[in-house]
Amino acid sequence: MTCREFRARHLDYSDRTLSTARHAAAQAHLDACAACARFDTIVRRGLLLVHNLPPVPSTPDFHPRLTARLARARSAAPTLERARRPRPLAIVAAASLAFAAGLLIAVGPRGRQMTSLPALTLAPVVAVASRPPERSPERLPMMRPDFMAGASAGIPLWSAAALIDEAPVRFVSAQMSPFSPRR
Amino acid sequence: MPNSAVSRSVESAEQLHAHPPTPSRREWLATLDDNALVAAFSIGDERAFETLVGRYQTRLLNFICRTIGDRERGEDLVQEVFIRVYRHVHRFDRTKKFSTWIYTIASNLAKNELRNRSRNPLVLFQTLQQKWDDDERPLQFEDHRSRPDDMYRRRYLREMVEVAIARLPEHHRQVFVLRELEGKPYEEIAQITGCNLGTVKSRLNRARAAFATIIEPAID
Repeated sequence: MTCREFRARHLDYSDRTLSTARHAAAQAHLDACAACARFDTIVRRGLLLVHNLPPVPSTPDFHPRLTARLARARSAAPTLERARRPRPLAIVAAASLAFAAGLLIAVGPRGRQMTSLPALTLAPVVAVASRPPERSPERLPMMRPDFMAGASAGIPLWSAAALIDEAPVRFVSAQMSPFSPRR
Repeated sequence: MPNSAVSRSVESAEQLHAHPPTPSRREWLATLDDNALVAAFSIGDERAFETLVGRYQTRLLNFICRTIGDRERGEDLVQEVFIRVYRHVHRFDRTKKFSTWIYTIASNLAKNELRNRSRNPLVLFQTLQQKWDDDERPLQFEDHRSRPDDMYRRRYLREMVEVAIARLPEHHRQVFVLRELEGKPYEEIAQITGCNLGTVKSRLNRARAAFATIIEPAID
């Protein structure tokens, strides 16, 4: 074992966690190397001093200061107090949740029954476009001679009111039929 | 929080301080292990928290003061550790070891302190020795068997050891203090520092070698 190896494994050597063979090798190196033997002695003596260090004493006002800080901590952020105390809102919320869960469980099977019912078959609905009643052109009121005779002198208000509903259809068909080029 | 509740909690803290727990109760709490005390505190037993403070106060003070090298600031940080434990005890996983949890909090606070110091070079390190005067040490009776030069040598050695620990690099010092002063097993040190076991052992080995180099002139 070299000095480097010995120092790298010194912790395991002093803890006695090396394998038997390695421990023997380290021991042999220690017997042969004065520098490593000295290093081992210094470490052991130094650690002995460390282990015998007196504890760091606390000041007399440590406890009063801590008590005051704890009191401030309680009043500033009473997380712990709140966590310990049962909250009415939380209880109500929990009860509501439990009720809702119970309701779901109770209603659940019925819902499943409803979905398992056979589907209703209804007759199909057929939509038919309504067509305006066909009338012959000569039956249109505006084509009658008395109507035409009245038009030159102006249509009185009451007859315009009577025609207003039929005007869009009748006027278009009345115009188109007389001026057809094939007729 | 309502005012009445605030005043009640302040009153209870004052009462706790003014009227310490009865000896029998205190003795019974002292027999409980850490996790049982945490459980008692979680259901509102403030005396259990006091017992935990008494149990960890000196250990944490040693750890933090020797890690950051400043006793006055160390006391503040120890108090901060207890405040955090008080506030966040509900977060503690009771299947784990309480001492690991509280030392992890202390270790993080010490690390933050050292990080802040490195950003602010005006704060000097190694104030532990300067602040720790004879007047502040606990009263010790004179040992007539000891010669004055022996006493001087012992005190000198103690100071040298403190200086040697303070001169270790931060990562090495933390592991060194946890192992050699607090006697923590390697696995727990790994949990506290957040390193793996190999890193802990490697750091400790280096720390011991560095410590030996620093302390060697004083031991000779």
